[in-house]
Amino acid sequence: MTQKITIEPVTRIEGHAKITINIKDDGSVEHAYLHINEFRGFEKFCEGRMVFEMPLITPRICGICPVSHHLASAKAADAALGVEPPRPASLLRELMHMGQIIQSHGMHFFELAGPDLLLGFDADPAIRNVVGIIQSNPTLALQAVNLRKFGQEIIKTTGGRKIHPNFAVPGGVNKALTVEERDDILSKLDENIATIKAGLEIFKGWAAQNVGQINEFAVFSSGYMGLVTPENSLELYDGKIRMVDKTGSQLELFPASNYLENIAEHVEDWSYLKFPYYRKMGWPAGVYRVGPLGRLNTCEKIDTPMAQEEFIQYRKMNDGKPIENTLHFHYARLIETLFAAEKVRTLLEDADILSKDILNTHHNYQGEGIGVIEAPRGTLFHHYWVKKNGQIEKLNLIVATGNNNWAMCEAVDSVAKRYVKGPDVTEGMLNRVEAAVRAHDPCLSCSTHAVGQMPMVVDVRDLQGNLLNTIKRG
Amino acid sequence: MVKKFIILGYGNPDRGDDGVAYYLLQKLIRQFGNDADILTKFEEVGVCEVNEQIDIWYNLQLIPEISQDLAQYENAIFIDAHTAEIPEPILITKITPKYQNSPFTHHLTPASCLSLAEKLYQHAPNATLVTIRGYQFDFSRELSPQTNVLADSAFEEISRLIAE
Repeated sequence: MTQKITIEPVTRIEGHAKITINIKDDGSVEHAYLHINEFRGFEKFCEGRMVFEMPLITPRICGICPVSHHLASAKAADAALGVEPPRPASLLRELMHMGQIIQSHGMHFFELAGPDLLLGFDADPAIRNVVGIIQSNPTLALQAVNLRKFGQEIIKTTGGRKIHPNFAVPGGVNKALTVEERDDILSKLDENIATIKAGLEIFKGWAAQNVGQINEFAVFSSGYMGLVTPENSLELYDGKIRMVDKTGSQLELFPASNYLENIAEHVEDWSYLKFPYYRKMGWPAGVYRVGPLGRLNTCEKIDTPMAQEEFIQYRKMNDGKPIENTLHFHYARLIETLFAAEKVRTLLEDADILSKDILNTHHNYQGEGIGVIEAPRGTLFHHYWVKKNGQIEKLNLIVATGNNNWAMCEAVDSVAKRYVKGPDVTEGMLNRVEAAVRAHDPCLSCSTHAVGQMPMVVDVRDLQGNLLNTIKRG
Repeated sequence: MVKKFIILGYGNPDRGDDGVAYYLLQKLIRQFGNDADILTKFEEVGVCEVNEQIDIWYNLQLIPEISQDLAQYENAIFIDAHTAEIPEPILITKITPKYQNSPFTHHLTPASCLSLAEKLYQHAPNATLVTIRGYQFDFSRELSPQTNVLADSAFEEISRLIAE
């Protein structure tokens, strides 16, 4: 009798995910599914709102990455109103964005993913967490907390507010940077770069000891997508969108305004989240990955020296071809964090960063605008159709996690097939399935935070739906 | 010197009942605050003094850095909404330091924050979690009628905890 195992976080009304694993009679996995039950009413909610409100409203989509939505929204509004921000405003927006990358990536590696890697998937859950790491290296743990705080302070300093940023507006930003604020950030940069580099050494040390696991854990081919500079360097704030195939050969290079010509969305009846794919290759041949792994497979180099040095080492792992190992999301994420920190210095040393020329009020109404940005999790699109009076007629959002939907599903299926052997499903097996999703750093919470422990529940059911066993974590 | 109370409210006030903590913090400021200006700035300044005994803190969610602040207090009260999986309309429970991984995303529990405070800064306050049942989590800045009523009762409980 085939068994069905369900892993489901509870105590959340929406924005959570469920994993279902179908087990055959011989204990092997037939298939595993990641179901995203995310509430997506946001687009409807915004119809009729004024376009200048959107950079204020859209951060409320998510309490985890509000800055990404704030900036993508401002860029969409810029395009819809036909207004180019002055260069200093773009620098300031990018500075805020780098703060977001640092805090998000830093937290993910040290507090979320690090324990999986450093303490092992089979470690006692009581210690397989950041406290376990604290006990072994309390200094590093403090540095990790400070790294996240540093990123948050950049956001607060640029935006003037800790949460719900009111900073980027159509045509620019509404707050300039002072000399004192610039110098304060600069004074803390070196210690935080040291923390990031320590994280990289930790990961590389772990990777050297776990080559086998890395080469077995959710390794599969796909296309890749990300923003690049005109020279195909890593780009997180602006630029064109580049798509490459599994060999790293370019498929497309296009501006954000052409995304609908290149990206289509597939629907499955077992998930509310759609599956974006490269239109010209069709579904499922055109599937792609975004986020740190996707971006470092899409770009050809990195323009900051320390990150470029790490990038060269990174790409050597597969002789310059794309890296396909899901666990190397963590490696790529750390390289990006280093890039973001170096970019902070570049931005702060630009003379224009202190300019008061931060807003362009001359509009040239276009009616439609698309803003794209590389959020920590991947490429984020905001697409607005705007009436002449400034009201939003309709909008479309492709969130970063949505771009990785196929990848997460594939990773879950791959890991489940490799490690889950029913009917006795161990904690270690389930940890690995969970880790497959976590490597992508998904944002599924949609900004509701009702209590609160996020335990995982595994229901083992037969095909008739009878509950055979329940395993609860937390 | 260790201050007596920190009251931490978290949740999204743009998502209906998810913002119940936000509204309760406002009530606390009005009831116990020395400075009316706090009402306009508490959500932006991190830890904010209400009076000599009580500080408050608000954010959309719990974050690791709060562990550094927690270590400065004798007592902490966490306020949040809960869903129907918890049967009690208002749940008040003592919590102890225990770090819990989130399955997928950036999410911290009160117990995890206490654990970080204890491990990183060698002190975790005596802590209580007050959660209030939410009924509507749509895009709205108002509480549902049911949660509104429960919030008033929760406020009385929180006031009693502070007075003890």
